[in-house]
Amino acid sequence: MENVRAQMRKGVLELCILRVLGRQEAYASDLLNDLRKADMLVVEGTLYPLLTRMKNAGWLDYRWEESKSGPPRKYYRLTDQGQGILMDLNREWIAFTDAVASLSH
Amino acid sequence: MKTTVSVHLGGHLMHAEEDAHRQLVHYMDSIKRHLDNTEGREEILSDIESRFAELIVERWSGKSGVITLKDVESVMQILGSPSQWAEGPVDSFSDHESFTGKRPEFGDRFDYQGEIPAPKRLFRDGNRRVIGGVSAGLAAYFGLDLALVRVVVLLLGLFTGIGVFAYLVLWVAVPKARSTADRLAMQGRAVTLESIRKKVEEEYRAVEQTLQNPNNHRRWEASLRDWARDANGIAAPVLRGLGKLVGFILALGTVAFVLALGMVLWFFGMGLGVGDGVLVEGDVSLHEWVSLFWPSTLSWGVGWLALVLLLVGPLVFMGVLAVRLLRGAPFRFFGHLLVFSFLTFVLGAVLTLLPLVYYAEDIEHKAVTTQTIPLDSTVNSWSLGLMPAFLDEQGRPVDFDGEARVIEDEFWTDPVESNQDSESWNQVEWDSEPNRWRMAGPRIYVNNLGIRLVPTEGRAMLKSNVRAAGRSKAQAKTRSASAGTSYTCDSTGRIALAEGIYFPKSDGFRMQKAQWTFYIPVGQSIRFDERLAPYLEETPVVGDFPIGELAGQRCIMTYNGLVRMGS
Repeated sequence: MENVRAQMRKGVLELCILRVLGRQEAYASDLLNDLRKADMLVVEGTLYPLLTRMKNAGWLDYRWEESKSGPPRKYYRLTDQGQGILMDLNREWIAFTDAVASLSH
Repeated sequence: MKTTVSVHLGGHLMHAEEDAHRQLVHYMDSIKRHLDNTEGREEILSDIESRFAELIVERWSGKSGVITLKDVESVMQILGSPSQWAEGPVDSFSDHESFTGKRPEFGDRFDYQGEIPAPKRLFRDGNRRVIGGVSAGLAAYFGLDLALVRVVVLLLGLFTGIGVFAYLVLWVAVPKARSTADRLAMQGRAVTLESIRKKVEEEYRAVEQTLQNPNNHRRWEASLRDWARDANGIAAPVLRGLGKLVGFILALGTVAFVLALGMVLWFFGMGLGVGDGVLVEGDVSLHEWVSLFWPSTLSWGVGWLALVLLLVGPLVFMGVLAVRLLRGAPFRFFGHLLVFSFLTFVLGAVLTLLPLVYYAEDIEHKAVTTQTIPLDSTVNSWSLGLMPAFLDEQGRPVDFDGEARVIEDEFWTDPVESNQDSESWNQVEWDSEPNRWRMAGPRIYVNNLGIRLVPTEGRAMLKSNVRAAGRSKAQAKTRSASAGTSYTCDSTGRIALAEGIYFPKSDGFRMQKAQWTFYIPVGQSIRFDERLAPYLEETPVVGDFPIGELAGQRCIMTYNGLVRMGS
């Protein structure tokens, strides 16, 4: 049961990241907080390989910002391509939930 | 005793207990292995390192400390083990690509350059500071040798004062480098994963060496400092030698300062004369001299306090700096003492302004006492000179070159009798009114004189305006009336004006000034002495040259001013 839930979370994690960043650019910690609050993340470590991969794929990029309390921070944001992916995935997601919902009628 | 190890974690410099450090290295290694063939492995590692450090800092909630095993384990719980991340389809990208229909172009938006951009920033370097670490910060910022920067700052400070001012401004304005990131930014060093790891490894090796000699616990702290000292090539021994030299000079200066201070106080206490023709003549103590100008409404205590503060500030500063440089290291309360000396000086400077403010009130109102002296109308050729206000012990006139002279005691004497008593000739003045010599009372003589030569259509006339200031109009008037000056005039037209104005010592100096106006009928001639030239005011001259050039020559007074005779 837990394993199935983890698999489901895993499947939509990219969409969730895109949605959070679609609202506004975010620092990795803020991103983590949002995802944790939405109960989409069990361990934080999962996020980092994903972020790097999405960035290498051209969906995201980031800029450095000076921090008052420590080293510079990475602020992530969606690229134009990422915006397109987000829209596609959103559509896909609605279709998906509709499809699942239709099965219970 | 638990041994600690220093680690660079995502730009933070931290200390970890040995077992915590081992666990941390183990954890990072497991991630490294897990990501073995993954693209962007270094970047992911760097991100995780940063997050790790961040979570540790969060755990400490503001306090700093040493990373314990418990810290590491709890952070590992949050981040999770690589096996926990791996569950589920990892390479799901191909699916997305198939439905979006376009492949992401690798390298297109690839802005990861392999290193974190670290813009250079100006910080004060507390680790290499002598005073506030400003020079060290500048040296790091511009990549210059620290010794060179210090010498330049020192020279600027000694010879122009700009150095001191700029230093103070920078001290206040520039932040101190606190974190490792600050220190790296100060040196403009990029915080790359590679550099950090290298650093960690270097330090780890150094620590291992140190661990073999547990008594040498301080050594790795020193090696850390050395690292902070960076590779810019500091001529440390030269610098130390220079510091010692400056410290020695400062120590000497401090001693000289104390001696000078003692002498000033002695002058005040003993009532020694401060001048012998330079500023003040006669037996006047510095205390008396200052009291001439001291505002009537301000307590002397304020003056003493200001004096003490003004002297103690730099004294403490010099002393503290001397000890610091000779010792070669900052000591307890070093910073506090510097701040104390600075504030003391500033307070003294502010208090010094008070007498000026009060004095301004003392001279707010001005008044004039005028006396008009008609001159012999049969004379048409004049000569104007100065006469001394004093005679010396032998009864000879004294040229008083100073600005002021103080005379005690007062008695009158007849010109004939006075020859007998040579003692009484000490400081005498000629009083033209009763036509006899007199010993001046406790008076102040001041060379505050102005002379004007003015054309007139009427008869020749001499006018004396004795000016003075006071807190009220009435006070100013009384003061101007109690001040005096003198002149002589004989039947051949030779006029001599006393070179100075006197007033009772109790009046204090409140802008007393004698202003003579000599009305010369147009067409009459005048010759004035060279010594008059500096006192001449608003006297018109025909021609384009300064009035001083006419001194000693016979001139004609015209409607437009003086004209050289024969020209």
